[in-house]
Amino acid sequence: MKQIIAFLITAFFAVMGTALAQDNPIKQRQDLMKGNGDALKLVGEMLKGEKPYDADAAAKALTKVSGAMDEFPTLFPESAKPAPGVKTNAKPNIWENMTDFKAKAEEVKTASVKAAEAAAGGLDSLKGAIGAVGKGCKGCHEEYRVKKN
Amino acid sequence: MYRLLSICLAAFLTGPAGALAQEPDAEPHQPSVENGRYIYIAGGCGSCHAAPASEKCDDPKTKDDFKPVGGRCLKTGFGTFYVPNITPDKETGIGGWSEQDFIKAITEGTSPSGENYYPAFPYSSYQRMKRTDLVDLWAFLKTLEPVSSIVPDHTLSFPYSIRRGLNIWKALHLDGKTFTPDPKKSAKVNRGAYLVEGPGHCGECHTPRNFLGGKIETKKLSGGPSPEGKGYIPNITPDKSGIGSWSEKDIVFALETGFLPNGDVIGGTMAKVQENMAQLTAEDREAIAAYLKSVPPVASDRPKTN
Repeated sequence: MKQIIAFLITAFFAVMGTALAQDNPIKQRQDLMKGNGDALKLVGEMLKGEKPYDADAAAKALTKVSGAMDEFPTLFPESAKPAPGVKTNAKPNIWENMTDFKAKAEEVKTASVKAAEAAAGGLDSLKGAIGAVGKGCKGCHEEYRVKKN
Repeated sequence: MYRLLSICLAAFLTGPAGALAQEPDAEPHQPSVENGRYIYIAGGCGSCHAAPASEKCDDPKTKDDFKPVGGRCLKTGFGTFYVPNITPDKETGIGGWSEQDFIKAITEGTSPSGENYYPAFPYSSYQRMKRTDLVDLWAFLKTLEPVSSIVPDHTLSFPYSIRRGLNIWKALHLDGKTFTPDPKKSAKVNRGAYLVEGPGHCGECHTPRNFLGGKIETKKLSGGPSPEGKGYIPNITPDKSGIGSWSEKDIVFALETGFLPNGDVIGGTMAKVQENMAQLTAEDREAIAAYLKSVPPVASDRPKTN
């Protein structure tokens, strides 16, 4: 009986937690960007020779990025605009230029799909493809992310 | 203090002629347009002199780096500067200049008619450039398409609107010295130092300035408030408040791809600079990294934000 109650309580919080995350696109998009940063950090470490080159791991990390970029632009509903007291680095012009914003996300997705494919060709092949990913990230951050000081 | 005042007064009246002794000319140099193009990229000439990509005169993106028609605006605490046309157009660009005019402009900040340029044109860095590189750069500029393009006048507040006042600034900040390699350092570090302090003019943003607008040499490359008002320029000395935790490979990789060690990307005005750095040779990026790791670590003056 105790086990069942414990299970129900755990399940309740787990479900609530998921529900809360789904209701919180700001948190979701921040998590996706954090994930992208971690994935690209790993790729960078391999390209710099700080970690042994692992084509599968690199491809997996870049596929994570391209997957994230599918979901990312869907997380900008009107309800998740910047507002007083809301901590977000999203600039309000995203909502004025949604088509361009989505195109820029798509650009990063395409570049990371290509980079994931290039990973199998070895370190130099991936190195040649990673610049386009960085360019995509920069292009979008420049327009739509609050400047980091 | 009296000494400073008398320098200022003398300079204001006479101009900084004494400070600008020319180096004796070495053997004649056969100009290389190819190296000139490389120096144009390393110096970021296009990033400022090319037209902005959009209607916004301060759009960091450019239309075409190799069409330096001018028109970009730099909004600073002194007022707004408009970047001039440096295509070889005779009327509105620099088509009527001689090589000597060009070298004087870029190393002394003086126009062919003797007017002072504002140091938004980073001639206090460019004065360090090798004369051969300048001759090559001039040869390259002459190959560009001449474009007729008239740029608005600067709109500066008093007293900055008086160009003559720049004689003081020049007396304090120009010494007319080209880059001298440090014999105690490797050829690689010296090449990096040349690129950073000369054409790359990294210190124009990354070195903090005193109240007279001069770079504080003891705090070289340790970052400071952005000259364009918004934000704070990062410390790029090997201090823990700077890039102390970065390896040389991290610097090379960031300059090549735009990725920072934490997986984020370079932003702001540096994004354009990074794209220029990505076009240099791998050896030059490695030289820049080696030099940056060799400069004295300086703690950032940046105020705590939290």
